[in-house]
Amino acid sequence: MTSSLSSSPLAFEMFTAGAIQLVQQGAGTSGRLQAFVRGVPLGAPVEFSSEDSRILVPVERFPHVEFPAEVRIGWADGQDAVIPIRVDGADVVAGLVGQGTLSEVSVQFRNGLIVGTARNRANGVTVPMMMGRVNGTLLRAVETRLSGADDTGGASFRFTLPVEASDFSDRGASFEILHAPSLECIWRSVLAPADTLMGGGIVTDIRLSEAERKLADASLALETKLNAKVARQNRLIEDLTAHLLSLIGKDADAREQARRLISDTAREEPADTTVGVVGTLSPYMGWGWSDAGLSADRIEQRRMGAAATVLNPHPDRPVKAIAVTVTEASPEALAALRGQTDGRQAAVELPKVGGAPCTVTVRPQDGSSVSLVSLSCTAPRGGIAVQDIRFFYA
Amino acid sequence: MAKNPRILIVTPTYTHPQDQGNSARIHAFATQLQRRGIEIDVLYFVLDGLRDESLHPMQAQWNAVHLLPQMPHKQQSFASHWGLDDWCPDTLISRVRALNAANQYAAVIVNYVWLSGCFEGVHDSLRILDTHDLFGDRARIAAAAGLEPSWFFTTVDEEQRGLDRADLVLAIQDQEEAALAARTTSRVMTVGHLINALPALDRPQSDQPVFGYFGSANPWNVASVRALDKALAERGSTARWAMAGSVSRKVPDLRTSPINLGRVDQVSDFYDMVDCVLNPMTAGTGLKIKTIEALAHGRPVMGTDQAFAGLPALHEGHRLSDPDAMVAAMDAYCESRSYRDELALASRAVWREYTSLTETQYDALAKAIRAYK
Repeated sequence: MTSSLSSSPLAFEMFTAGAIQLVQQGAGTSGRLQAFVRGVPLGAPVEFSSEDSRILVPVERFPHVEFPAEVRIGWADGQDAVIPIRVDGADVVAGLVGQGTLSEVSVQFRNGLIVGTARNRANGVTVPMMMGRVNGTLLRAVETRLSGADDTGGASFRFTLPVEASDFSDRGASFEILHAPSLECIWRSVLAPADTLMGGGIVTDIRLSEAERKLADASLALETKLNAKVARQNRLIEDLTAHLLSLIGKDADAREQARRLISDTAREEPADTTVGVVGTLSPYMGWGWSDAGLSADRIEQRRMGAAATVLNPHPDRPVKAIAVTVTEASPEALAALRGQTDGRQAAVELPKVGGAPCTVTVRPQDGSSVSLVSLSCTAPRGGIAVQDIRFFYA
Repeated sequence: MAKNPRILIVTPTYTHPQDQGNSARIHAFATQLQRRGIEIDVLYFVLDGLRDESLHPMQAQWNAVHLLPQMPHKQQSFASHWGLDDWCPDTLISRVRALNAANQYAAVIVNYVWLSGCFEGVHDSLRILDTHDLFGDRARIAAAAGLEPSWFFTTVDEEQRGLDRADLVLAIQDQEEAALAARTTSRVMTVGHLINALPALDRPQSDQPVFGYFGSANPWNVASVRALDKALAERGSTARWAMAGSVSRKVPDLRTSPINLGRVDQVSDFYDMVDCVLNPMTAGTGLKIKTIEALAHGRPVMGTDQAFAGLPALHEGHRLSDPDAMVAAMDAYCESRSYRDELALASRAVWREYTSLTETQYDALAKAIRAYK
């Protein structure tokens, strides 16, 4: 097929928003063309004449496919008009049909979770970024995953938002599911106060789920604390030993200095109240991050996909800047990094010299409070790895 | 005494267990011929997997079972549809040719037009194509029902090329016989689908009956379940209904709350648990095997025009125009004992009439095979 198409009067030129652009080669031809993936039409057919040097073949939707996929442009009889066009990833699809809109949202309350499904008819390959908003202010991460290709087009997605007993006041609780980065609300519900029959049942349900969760978390927290204590004591002993060795043969105040050193090292470090640090394992790391792994320098990091989100631990405080500690990234990926705060474009400042490891600064437009930071990278081979994200408060 | 004729059946699915429509069709079809003294060899082109519970019973029932492992489909020949032979590998064609040369079959029966390439190596046996369904223009029919094209779909011209390779083309119901006859110069006849099933267990009369739907997860079934669910929700119906088969995994977000029976061990388990079987099929082609299966188990069946295509519909509950009409009929079934009795009697009568007609069709087919050699 490819060899017979090499002499085709048409050739693929580029993807544009909503269309695939072809160019006429040599003597002009005319006819009707339509774009397909696996035989599924991507848009309406287009007629063109021999005088059209460029032809835009409409693409209005894209089904769920595995990558790499092939887009094929067919004549009215189904024969190929150009060599099949390879599509490597969801970013190309997003450029063609956009993020799509979520529809047919269906939500249930189950085991302390808000569990739902939604469909994206236009874009079947991009897993939607979603956030939960509780009681109108608090943003919470929503776990989203593809549930499968939809027989009627596009794809279906499942999402879960954890609910906590403390979300309920005597006026009940409100929950919203937002489609990031625009933060468009796709579902909203107000649940009854805890002292009503329905609300009481829900809160009991949540408490049971929370108890289970806390039991599992408690052992992890204990282990983490013990590890931290052992690490601090090790550091103390190493510092003390080094200092005492340096004092050999010196004056009699050595004992006192060593005692002071022990006291200083063992003291808890004061919290920095002007900075909120979101580490790789923080629950404030939102959607779009890989599992935590180690860099070549043994630094714990998480890698972002085409887009990822981070929640601000203190959304009520004005933010001056957000520093992203990048451990690994190609220069192209860094240049293609974009940032938004609460759906509004934010300035991204890259280091003037050199690449990763480095700190990238995302600066909100007006220095106001920020709930959600959205990062995106349009480079074909993105893969930006991050050690932490620091929020600098005014 | 004349020796029993021996035939080869080429199938892309297993014949055991009969847990999907095409398996049930091929098993029932071959069993009917076997009962008429025809020896059956089966060549299974393993597209639907192979399990012990498939292979051993297949070897027990058929004269010989040959296997050809699955291989990837060829690249789609056309941008907008599959080419006729894209799913028929050359290895399969060679294997059929070799088996036929070695065994001198009276007939080679190929299932599905997209495997009709197998006839290319068959010249001295009766070439019979069991179509199961229409595949030409299938994408357009799917689009009309709001579905994306899936599985195998091609043009009428491509389908015709495949049909013309056969000496005898089998339709599964008489409406498709007419459509196929218009697409080919080959002889076309209808051979329906017979099922031997024990009647389901008696259930006491109730004005709160359990309706049931049983289906696989194909897009047509999913669309039908969604349409029924929507109609039930919008009309505020309180009818109790149950759902079984793999379709139940595909519709987790229904607005009503059917009893989810999931996958059942035995098909008969489902029929034992419901009072009346629903088939709300809104579009599609072919014979609706789930309608036949429910009738064979002796349960009253309520269905749309599509669900009863190719069957003698004898009651208004057998020719419902859409899911809304089905919900109204479900309400009538709950409210009226006489409606329940009428539907049950009519469903039994449909099955008797259909069985009698289909037996004569298999007699005619067996006669044609015997007459060839």
